[in-house]
Amino acid sequence: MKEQITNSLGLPKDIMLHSSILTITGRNEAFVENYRGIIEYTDTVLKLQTKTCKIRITGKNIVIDYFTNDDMKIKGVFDEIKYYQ
Amino acid sequence: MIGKLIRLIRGYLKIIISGTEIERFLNICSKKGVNIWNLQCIEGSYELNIYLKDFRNMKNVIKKTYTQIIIKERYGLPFFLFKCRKKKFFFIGIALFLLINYILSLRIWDIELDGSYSYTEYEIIECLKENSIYHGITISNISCNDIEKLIRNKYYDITWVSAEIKGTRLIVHIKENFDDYIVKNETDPYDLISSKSGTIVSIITRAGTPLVKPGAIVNEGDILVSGTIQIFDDNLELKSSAYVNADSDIFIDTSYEYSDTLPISHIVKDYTGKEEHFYQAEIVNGKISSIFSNCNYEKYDQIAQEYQLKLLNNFFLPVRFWKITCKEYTEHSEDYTEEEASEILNSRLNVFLQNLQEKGIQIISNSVKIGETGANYEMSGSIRVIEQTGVPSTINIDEGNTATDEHN
Repeated sequence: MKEQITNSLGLPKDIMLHSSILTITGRNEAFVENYRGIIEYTDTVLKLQTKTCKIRITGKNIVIDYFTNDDMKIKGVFDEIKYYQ
Repeated sequence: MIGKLIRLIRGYLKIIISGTEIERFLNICSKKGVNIWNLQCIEGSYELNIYLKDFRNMKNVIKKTYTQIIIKERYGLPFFLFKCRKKKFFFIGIALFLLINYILSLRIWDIELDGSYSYTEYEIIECLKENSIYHGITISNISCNDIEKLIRNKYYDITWVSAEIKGTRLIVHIKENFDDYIVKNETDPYDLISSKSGTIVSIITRAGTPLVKPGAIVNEGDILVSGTIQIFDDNLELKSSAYVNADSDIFIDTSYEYSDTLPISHIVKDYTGKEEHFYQAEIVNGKISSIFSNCNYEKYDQIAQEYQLKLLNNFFLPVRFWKITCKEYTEHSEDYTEEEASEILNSRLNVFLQNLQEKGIQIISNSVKIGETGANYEMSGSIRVIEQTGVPSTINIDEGNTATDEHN
């Protein structure tokens, strides 16, 4: 219902539905907005919880450049980015 | 860059955390709005940067998540100040330095004159001093407009003055009038009289009645353009007289007498190469001399070099130094040869001619010759020139009326 209203009115989904936004620049930089928390973090894998699903980023030398309650900037060499439940 | 500066001002720590609930620790941090950056996993432990203030508030979280913490590095101003807590006098010194600089920056410590040729810097500075503008005066007490008016009123041949304050400097820009005569700004009507004897070359009158024509021979003081305009009626009888400020461009062919002497015998200084130095300092307005302030030579030249302390280009301080060098010499008498004397006298003559040309005077010819008279070489003769003339001379109205009566 909420999704239908948002779609019909053309409202931004990240605000209305708290959908996460993942912006990737090349292979080395990613920017995540609207995440809920960190599930797991090592230098090869980073698992994040969002409202609708989980995101898994795997690669090498993964560094969290900074993170706040809403957004996070990640650097490293990414191999795979996967959405799962 | 600004972010880095803010971090340094606030102070931050590089810490290493380890434990079984690191993710929980990080999530609590983000929920509490704690800023964490450069988080990286290194061999099972985590290295991150955190603000000092946030770190102090994290003690409960650390306990709750069983996290072990090692502080690796400390950065920023709070740690620097903590290190320097025993160096109070160092900081007091810095504060005093800044305070003194601030106080000094409120006053004028250097007065510079720009564009003056016929007046020396000393003369103008003395004039300013007489009118309470001196080294050390508070900047807020200075009005550049007043300085400009003062100089313009005192020196009638200074045609343009601009005063400006840059830092602790007062810079006075001046432009002088190089014309031979200055038209006085008089309200009373005046005639133009000749300042020299000679032949009129040209005359173009804008106001007044011209009394001479080109080719006329005039003497010094003769009226060239009268400020009196006589108005006649139809019967050619004088009806009335009007008085104006005569205005005209008059050029006269005249001559300057030039004479210069040079003694044949003159004293030559032989510098022995021995030098002595001593220093003088002036702080605010009091002079301090070094102990060895007298030279022991019988005959010597003194050369002083002045230095003024300054922090920046325009931030002069009230401290001046003089390095005074005494150069010893012995004297012997020598005679100039004719060639040498001719060279010296000609160079002086050239300077004189150059000065005339700078005043807009056109040089037609010169008949200056060098001769030997007793103990001197003498250069004399006349220089024929064409120059502008016409000096204002106020009209005595009563005399003018008398003249009118006589005419009637």
